[in-house]
Amino acid sequence: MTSAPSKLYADDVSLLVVTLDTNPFFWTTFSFPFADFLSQVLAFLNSILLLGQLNQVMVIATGCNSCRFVYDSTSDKNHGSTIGTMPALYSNLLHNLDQFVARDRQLASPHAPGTVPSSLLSGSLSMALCYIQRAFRSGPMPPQPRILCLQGAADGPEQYVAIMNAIFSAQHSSVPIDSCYIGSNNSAFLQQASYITDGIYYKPPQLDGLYQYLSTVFATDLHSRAFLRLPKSMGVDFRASCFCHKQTIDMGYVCSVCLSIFCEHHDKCSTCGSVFGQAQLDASAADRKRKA
Amino acid sequence: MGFRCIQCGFPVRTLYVQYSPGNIRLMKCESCKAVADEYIECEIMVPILPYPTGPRLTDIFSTMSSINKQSSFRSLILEGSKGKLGSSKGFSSLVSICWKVVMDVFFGNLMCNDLLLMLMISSYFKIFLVAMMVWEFPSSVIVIIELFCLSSNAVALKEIMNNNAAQRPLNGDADDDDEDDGGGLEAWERTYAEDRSWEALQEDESGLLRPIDNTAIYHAQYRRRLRNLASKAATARIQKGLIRYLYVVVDLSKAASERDFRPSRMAVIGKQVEAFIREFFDQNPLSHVGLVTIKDGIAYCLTELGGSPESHIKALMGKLECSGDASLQNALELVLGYLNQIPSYGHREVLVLYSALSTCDPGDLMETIQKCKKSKIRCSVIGLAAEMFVCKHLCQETGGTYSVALDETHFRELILEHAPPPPAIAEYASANLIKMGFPQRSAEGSVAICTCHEEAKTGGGYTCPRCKVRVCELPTECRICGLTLISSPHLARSYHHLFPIVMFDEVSPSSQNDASLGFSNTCFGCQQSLNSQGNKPGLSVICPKCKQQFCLDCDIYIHESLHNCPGCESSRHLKSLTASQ
Ligand SMILES: [Zn+2]
Ligand SMILES: [Zn+2]
Ligand SMILES: [Zn+2]
Ligand SMILES: [Zn+2]
Ligand SMILES: [Zn+2]
Ligand SMILES: [Zn+2]
Ligand SMILES: [Zn+2]
Repeated sequence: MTSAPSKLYADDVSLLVVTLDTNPFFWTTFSFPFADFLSQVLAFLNSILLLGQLNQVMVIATGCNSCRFVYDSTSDKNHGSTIGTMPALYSNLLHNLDQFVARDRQLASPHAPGTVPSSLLSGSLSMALCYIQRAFRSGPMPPQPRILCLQGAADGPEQYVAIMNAIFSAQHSSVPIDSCYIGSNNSAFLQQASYITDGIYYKPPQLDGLYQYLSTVFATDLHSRAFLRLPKSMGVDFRASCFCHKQTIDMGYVCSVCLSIFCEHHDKCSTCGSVFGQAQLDASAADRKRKA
Repeated sequence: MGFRCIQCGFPVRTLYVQYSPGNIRLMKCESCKAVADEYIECEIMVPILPYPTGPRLTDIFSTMSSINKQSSFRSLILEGSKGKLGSSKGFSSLVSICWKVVMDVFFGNLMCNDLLLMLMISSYFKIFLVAMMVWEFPSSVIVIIELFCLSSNAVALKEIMNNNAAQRPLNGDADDDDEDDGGGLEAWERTYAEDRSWEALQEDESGLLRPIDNTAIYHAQYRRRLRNLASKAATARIQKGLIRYLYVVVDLSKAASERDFRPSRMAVIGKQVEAFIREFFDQNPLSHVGLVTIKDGIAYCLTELGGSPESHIKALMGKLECSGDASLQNALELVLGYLNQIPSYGHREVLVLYSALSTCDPGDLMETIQKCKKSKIRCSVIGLAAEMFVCKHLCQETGGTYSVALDETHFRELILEHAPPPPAIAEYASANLIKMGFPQRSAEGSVAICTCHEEAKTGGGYTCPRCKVRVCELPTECRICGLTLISSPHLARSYHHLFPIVMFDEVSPSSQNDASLGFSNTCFGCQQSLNSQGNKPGLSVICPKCKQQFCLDCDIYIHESLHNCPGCESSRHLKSLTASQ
């Protein structure tokens, strides 16, 4: 196990890693246009950079088929003067984002019509954590890191294990995961991520004022958060997803050997291959009796 | 340096006024009206003599730091001897011997009583000084007496030091016990002795000291470890005993107070057990730990099997004192009684932290070992002293591991080896499907009556998915419907054992620069450039599944902490492939 990084951070310097959901299937079915969303997010990123000269912002695009870093505020390219009428930040990010979306479309694999495939949140979270580890290695006083997930598409149950791994790793190195979920229902994964890592989960009720929500809830550094009255958690969905059908369940069977979760009774564990003995049948029968 | 009163530390201008050679008057301190330094008549021996035992001079200096202490001492000796001795022949050798003695006294090598006695006897020439006060002698006589006195002092000092060196191996242990826990090291020395910061330095071509660049060595070690793990996993499949019932037996017999571990074995055990319990619950979320201590030949159950790390740690820290003998049999019998009651799917384990070199048992220990074997209890022992046959036999019979710790870091490694779940042995615990509920956490600020405390509570609680009652803590069993309630993150903590990520292949620097392979030359995880810098070869690894390139730091982080390949995770095509496998 790597030891948790020291709690010594450079004062007031934040490293914000933003994962941006660019899932085209979600945005085409969603009532709020992506362009409006993006312009509000860009304003937010700009205000983060303006809050402190040393603040860093990284943006990772979470696509439907791939993930990529699209913006790095420390890279030299962004320090050029404004090109035409657009500031360097915007033009660079938009350029990379354009490229990314085009590439993501090429990689598209067929999916069942009528359903919205999930975004690869596990990939962008893993990349964000790797980048934050690099920041930890960079010197004795690294900037204080946090992750902000701007997510719209629904959870992909097939990513359950990977997202959980990322959450525990973030918790281990005390990196909070904030989440701003703009989709229609709450995201159980992001609720758990923010709950476990001591981040903030927030679902803005009105997207027209998204910038206002972002800047009041997510712009403050971790130190100042202690003095704010931030939105209270509205409950956390701790349901798991079963290994057999990738469904979200609130009751299920757990293999005693490997702790795999199943939604229905099996004779043999598909993960570890254990054959379940007779004893458990009695136990579940007793269970059923008690229920009745 | 200025003079100070030995009674109160008030600065005084001079210690005495000399009327004629050998005829002096001692000055009084202005603050406390006592003689400022009554020892001045003992002349040169003053600085050496009162320091180790005389409490008053020590008081004066206690305000200064220890380093200051030494240097001020040296100046005292030099000042004193310069004034009185002039350019006497044996001066430098005498100073060096005195210095050595002072240092010895510092580090507790010399017995203070011996030193005092020696000084008194060898200074018998000083009797003449009394005569000098009465009869008027030429001042040269003082120098002669001084020389006699000093030479006999020097001979005596030499003798006592030789003696001491010869005795030391014999009574070294006894001396150790007399000292405080610093072990004869000053505080500032201790930090260096533990850190060994000088060992991390090496000389480069130009003779400059540089920190050793051990990232490459470290990475090689890590890859070897990973390969070992991978080969083990391949042979044993991924069955692990994830539901564990572990008793930690802490030997608190008299042997636990030995100071070969700093500050004592007991303190080290306490510290490391705390770390172990935290790590254990991190890696084995559904497991239970109980604590047993052995004291005065009897085993006590400190805490029952339970899932809360805090209560165990608190109980242990409150009971860290030792006495009497150790009894392995009593401890095993006690644990046996408790572990026989647990459900069949649980893995029964005992971890004994044994300090003593003997066991004082009421009956036949071998019988108890056979009983443990029959009850399928896996017993492991970590010794703190030396290897013992009976411990080894116990571990061999019950399938545990036996190891003896060399020092604290080694002990920590050994104990943390028991934190990850051991490979499940089919006959040890039967596989079982357990019905469980995953309750939701309700909103902060909602009010409900919980079943565990039977009172109305505000704030987040959990709701049983079957009967919808409120409980305060997880994991637990629903009081109404009997359903085992846990939060899914508890389970998920161990999933990386089930889906380990493949080992990454190393990329040689030569093939990396080969453009035809189309490497991007930045680490996919952290965006660091992988280009060779200077003369250092830019090592990197590549994931065999997604063909993404990673730097060595990311490689370690991904395998040790993250347990996700960022490349594989950010490619839907690969994810669907792995899912179908
Ligand atoms: Zn299922
Ligand atoms: Zn299983
Ligand atoms: Zn005084
Ligand atoms: Zn309660
Ligand atoms: Zn219930
Ligand atoms: Zn890297
Ligand atoms: Zn990969």
